[in-house]
Order: sequence, then structure tokens, then C-alpha cells
Amino acid sequence: MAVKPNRKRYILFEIISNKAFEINMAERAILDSSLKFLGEFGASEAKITFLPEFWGENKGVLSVNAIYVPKVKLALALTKKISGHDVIIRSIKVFGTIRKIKSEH
Amino acid sequence: MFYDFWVENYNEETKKLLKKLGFSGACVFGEAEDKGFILIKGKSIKSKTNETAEFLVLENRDEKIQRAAIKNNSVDGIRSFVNYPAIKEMAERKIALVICFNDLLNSSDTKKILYLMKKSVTLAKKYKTPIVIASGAKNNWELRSASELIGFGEVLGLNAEEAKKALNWFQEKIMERNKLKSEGKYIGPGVIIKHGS
Repeated sequence: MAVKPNRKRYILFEIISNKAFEINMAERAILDSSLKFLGEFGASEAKITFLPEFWGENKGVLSVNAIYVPKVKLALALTKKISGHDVIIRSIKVFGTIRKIKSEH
Repeated sequence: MFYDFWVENYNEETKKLLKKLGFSGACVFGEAEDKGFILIKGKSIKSKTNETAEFLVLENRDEKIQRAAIKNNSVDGIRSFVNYPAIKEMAERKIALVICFNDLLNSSDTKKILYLMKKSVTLAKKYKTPIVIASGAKNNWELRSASELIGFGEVLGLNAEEAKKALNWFQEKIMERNKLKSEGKYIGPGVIIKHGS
């Protein structure tokens, strides 16, 4: 199905690790990985934004451009370490609205 | 139901992680003994041999060796970048193209690997060659979730349905074949014993 450009999607993700991370550490690592994989132009088109109100217990929400969802998921998967600690980042679910995230989580 | 068909190191922790990451089974290329979790034993070879395994995969970029293995029908999959004549023969003999995420994760030249993977996947799509997407994890931290591997498939040029199929369709066929083999009903490719009317 065709997706309208510039429509947002919200990726709920979890960081699997032995350590609990601060939001800025996770944000830095994910944005670096996205920038490396997508390039500056791609990263700006993807409009990756962290939503700090949903951060907690190594889980968070990213807002991205709808057509970039698979690419951002791959960028998340390419993140190997956060502040020197081994991690696995898995995306739990993709939401269309913030209201739905609030109602489900 | 998704399966991670290339895991090199398996222990109790791996099992827990695989379940958490959305997999219901795995193919282990190494030592593993477990009950209660669908496990297949895989073997990777570098050249054409008469070896057998539950899931036998050729890991060689040499086109001559690839074509010899395909012609001999001695492997279930090829983990490499495959070009035109070989990929068509793979489709005819139902030999899968195995794409491991680990090749991308640990590569020093990501863009080249991604280009070669995309090229192989485009050809596989064109000639309807089965595609298997796996993590190729050498340790627990290299495992990736089913959702991420589907995203990886989509980046390689598959649509969402094809990417999901790359995580279960061929894998289920292999498990079905192994079940028939253990029951003594499997004779060879395309030949099985059926009972009943």
C-alpha cells in the first residue's frame, strides 16, 4: 500500500543489555548509527526524533518519516555498542499515532 | 512463526534471547543439544562434497564451485553473492540464497556488501529463487530480532510479505523434509512415500 510522504510513524524499541542507559547515551548511539547508515541527506529526510516522555527501562520511542521505517529499523539493528557496552536493539512495534502508544503502553 | 537459520553459538542464554527476539526455532552451526525448542543442525562447507546434514550450506564465492554444487544438488543453500546463470539453476533445484545479517554488521565496507546483497536478492526475486534471511550470529550479542531482519529484507528490495517469507517458508520446508527423513519416507528431491488413499 502506498504511504503518503512526510507522514510520521512511531517506533517503540527496546535496548537489550546488562546495563540501564540514560536517554542521551541511547540517543547519541542511535543517531550516530543512523547517520552512518543513511548519510546526512538520508538522515535529514528520515526526520528521526527521540520522544523523551516515553523513555524508561531501556525502552523508548522514535518518530520517523513513514517511508524510512525499514531503513531506520536496519540502522537500529546496526547499533552494536552504546558507551562501550554490547547491546541488541529490537523494535517492538510501529505506531501511527502518539495516542495509541499512550493507550497501549 | 519465524526461524533464525544461522546461529553459530548456542546455549541456554541464546535460547532465551531467541525467544525474546520473536523466533520459534533456529538452525545451529556448531554444538547444540536442546529439547523444547525447534533446533536444526546445520553445516557449512567450502567445496562440493558428499557430506550430509539437516541443512547444508555452501560458503564459497568461486562461481565454478557454486555451479558444481548446484548441478550436483548436494547443498540446501548458498551463503554468498550469486550471479546470473547460477541463480537460475538454484531456482530450478530449489536451492536457497542465504543472506546473513552478520556479513553486513561486521563488514568494513558496508556499502559494497549492501550493493552485492541487493544485486543477488534482485536476481533471486526475478528467477523466484528461495531466499533465507538469518542473523549469522557468532555470539549472543550478534543476534537480531525477527522485526529487524524483516526490515533488512525490505531494504534489500523485498516487499514486507516476501521479507516475512524469507524467515519461515524455506525453513519450514527443510524441517518438513527432515521429519520425513527421520520417518524413512524421504527418498530424494521430489520423491517421498505417501500412505493412504
